[in-house]
Amino acid sequence: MSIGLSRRGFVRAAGITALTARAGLLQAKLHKGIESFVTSVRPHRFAFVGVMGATPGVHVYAINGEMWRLRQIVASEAPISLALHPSGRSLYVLNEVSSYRGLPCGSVEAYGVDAETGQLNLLGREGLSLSATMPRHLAVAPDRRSVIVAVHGGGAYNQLPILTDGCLERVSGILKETGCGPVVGHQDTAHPQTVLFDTTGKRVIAADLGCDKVSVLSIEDGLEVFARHDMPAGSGPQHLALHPAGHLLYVAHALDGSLAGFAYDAGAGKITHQVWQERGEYGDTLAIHPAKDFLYTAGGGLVTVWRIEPATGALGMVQSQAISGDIHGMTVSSDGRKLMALTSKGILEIGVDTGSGHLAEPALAVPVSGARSIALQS
Amino acid sequence: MAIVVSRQDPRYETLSRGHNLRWPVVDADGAGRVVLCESARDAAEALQQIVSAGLRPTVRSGAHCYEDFVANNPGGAILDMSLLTTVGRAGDEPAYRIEPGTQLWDVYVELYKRYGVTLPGGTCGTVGAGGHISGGGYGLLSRLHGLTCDWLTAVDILTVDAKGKVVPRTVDAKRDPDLFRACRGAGGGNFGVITSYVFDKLPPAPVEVMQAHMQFLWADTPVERFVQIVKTFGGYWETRGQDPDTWGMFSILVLSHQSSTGFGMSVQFCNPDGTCRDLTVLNEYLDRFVHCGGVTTKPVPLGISKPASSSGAAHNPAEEVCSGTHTMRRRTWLSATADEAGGPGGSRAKYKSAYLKRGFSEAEARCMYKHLQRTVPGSDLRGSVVEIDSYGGAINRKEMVAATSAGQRSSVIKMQPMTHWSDPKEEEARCRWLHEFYTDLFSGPDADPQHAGTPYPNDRYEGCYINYPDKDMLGYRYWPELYYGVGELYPFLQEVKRKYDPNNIFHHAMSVRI
Repeated sequence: MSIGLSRRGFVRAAGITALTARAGLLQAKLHKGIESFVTSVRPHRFAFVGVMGATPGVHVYAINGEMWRLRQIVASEAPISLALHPSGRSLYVLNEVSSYRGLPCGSVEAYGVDAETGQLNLLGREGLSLSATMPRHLAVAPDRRSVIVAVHGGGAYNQLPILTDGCLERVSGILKETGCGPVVGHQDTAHPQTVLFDTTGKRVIAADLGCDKVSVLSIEDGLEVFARHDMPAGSGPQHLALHPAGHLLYVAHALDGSLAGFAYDAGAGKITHQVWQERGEYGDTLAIHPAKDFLYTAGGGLVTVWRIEPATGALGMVQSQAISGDIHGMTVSSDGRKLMALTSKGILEIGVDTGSGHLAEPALAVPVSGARSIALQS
Repeated sequence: MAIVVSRQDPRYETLSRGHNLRWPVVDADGAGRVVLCESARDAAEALQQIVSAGLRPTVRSGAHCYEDFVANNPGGAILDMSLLTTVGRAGDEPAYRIEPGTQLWDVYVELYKRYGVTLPGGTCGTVGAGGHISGGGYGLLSRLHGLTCDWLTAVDILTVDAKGKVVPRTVDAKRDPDLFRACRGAGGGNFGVITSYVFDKLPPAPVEVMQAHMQFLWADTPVERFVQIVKTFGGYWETRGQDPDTWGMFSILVLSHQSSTGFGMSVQFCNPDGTCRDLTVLNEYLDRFVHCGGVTTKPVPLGISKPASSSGAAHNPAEEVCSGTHTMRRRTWLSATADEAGGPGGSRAKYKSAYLKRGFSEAEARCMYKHLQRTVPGSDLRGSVVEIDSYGGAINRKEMVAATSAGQRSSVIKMQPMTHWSDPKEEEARCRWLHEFYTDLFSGPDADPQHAGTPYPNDRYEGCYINYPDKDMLGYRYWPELYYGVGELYPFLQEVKRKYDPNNIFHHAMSVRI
């Protein structure tokens, strides 16, 4: 095993070969489909940005080419994570708070989205389960029936049903995590960070910084642990990115800055083996290209572009781009042509060369400080 | 092995609820299962299974929690300790043990018959020792002997460590003394599962007590007389009631809403030596109310509700005695305690609480009169009362402030406004009346303007009682200061919480927050 000796390398030769040629062909076909889909998608018309700080709220921008026009600001206490309903008709906003109506829990807001103007109107607000404080991330189930939340403070995951009108119902599933790690002050207890649906839509991959675990959760009969995968002690897994084909999972670790890649068997619902390990400063955030086998990491003031070898999961560094200010989040536009970076100085729009993966010079699209989350609508 | 009652079990409907039938509000809020433990080992194994399954445990002994801290546990597990009911000394062990599921009446009977001692606990006999003692339970003998938690010398408790492993501990003044202190009054459902309370010593039970009851009719009580009654009551406990020769006397003024014909005041008395040989103190106390129009009548139980006694002790006219101008009743302590030992049956209820360092002011008395006289649409407010307990005496020993987590040791009155009803449709009107009453009472000229609407600690008030929890107080960001004071206690409890329950396994709406 080459972990720790080389800056970049394969972890398990056996693991690489396990991704068979046949699997590679299937993925290639799927990949081609994704690519053609992406090139046909409409450019984004609206951006919803969660802004923390002195005047927290969700900012609604209308996007026209390079122009971002602020259309609306909706007050929201601490919008740490946003997720659009697949229909585009509702937006879910997670508030990173420790108290809601006096109870020890965070909250989620549901907004209706006006298809023409992007304007938001509040549909309702729900508290999370007791002790589910300071939530970090949410994801909408592909079947459109529920929202899953990762809760940092209380060490838990919550499931909230979505009604047909887009409103949320009270929490229907709670999974309380326990565990810890060696890094005092960061790993004294479980701290779920990120939830990500796999390609089956029936399972959630979840990163827990507090106890160095990536878990696969099933959601069909309440929230239950389906599989566990231990990360290195003290690594602090925080950010997840799943290859569009669903067979490769990348994990950015906040505490040791490392980046790891895994083969993921969506049918079996488990991580089968590790395919990549990279030490360095890559733990700030993570994004993946929707079609072109590019992975974007952030850390140490750099955004790094990686080319993914889809058959093996191996990564090749393409470029490192210096970014001014802290990076709190990244997302790639669904047409694959832009990377949006949420920085302490504002939202950067960075052109993507879909052939080489290279990033253009960043352009400050919106000079808003405190942007922590973003959702883009076509 | 613990007994698991699932949602399909015919016992579930009964066992998933406590005495306050308001909870769970909707079926989905209910626990997924109730786990009945028969031993400390059962409890440890069951707790480990619950935690390992990613479920939330809520802990129950007597099921008397006023709020939803136990029953509101969607999909989780209620860890029921009500079958752990051993009381007494084990073998040659000199200490007394009380298991958490023991109901208070059984505690009193066992301790009295076997050892002649008692626990200065509450009047409601079906309350479980588990929640009562951990929340700093008190009762008719507390002015004489202090709080239940004051006598505690050790606790067996299950905690859950950072890795999610159940850890059995015996904690006392030397072993995990911080956790031991936290178990002495901070309230249940915070730190772990208590499987046994240990008391090296307990006070002797009184030989006998005198009981008296004074009745007041609303028809004969204009506001001026009402103010006089309330101020007479409060004034006594603020002054004369602090003298040690009065500590054996406990009195409850029960102010009923005008939907009842009247209201009353009850007294239980014994001399500090546990006898009733000298009734001077009692007569002097009752004399003060004669000019208020009070007439002593046949004594009635002091507790908050009055179902038939479980003792079977019939009222014996021969026990009635006249002392001066007053009618009272001489009872053995045990039979008097039995009369109190019912408990609220299943009803819906809302409760509030306040500690008072002084007697009532004119403004406070008039405010109570106003709300007890008013009517509201949607309810006749029957079963709405303000119970006002005498307090202080041995409770106010200052050395217990640092030794326990029951920090209110300067009060002379503890009051409990409450309302009981049956029809769920009355809930909104009932709770609104109580909230308005309480908020108004503590928004007068005696209240701290910065904390209007609450008995925030100042020279008159000393906050609220955690065993009478009131979720309305969560509307005030400073609610922990109401229940735990403005000093070092709450930060201390937060430290204990971080240390012994880092995952916040044990939590509810008003648990100590990390």
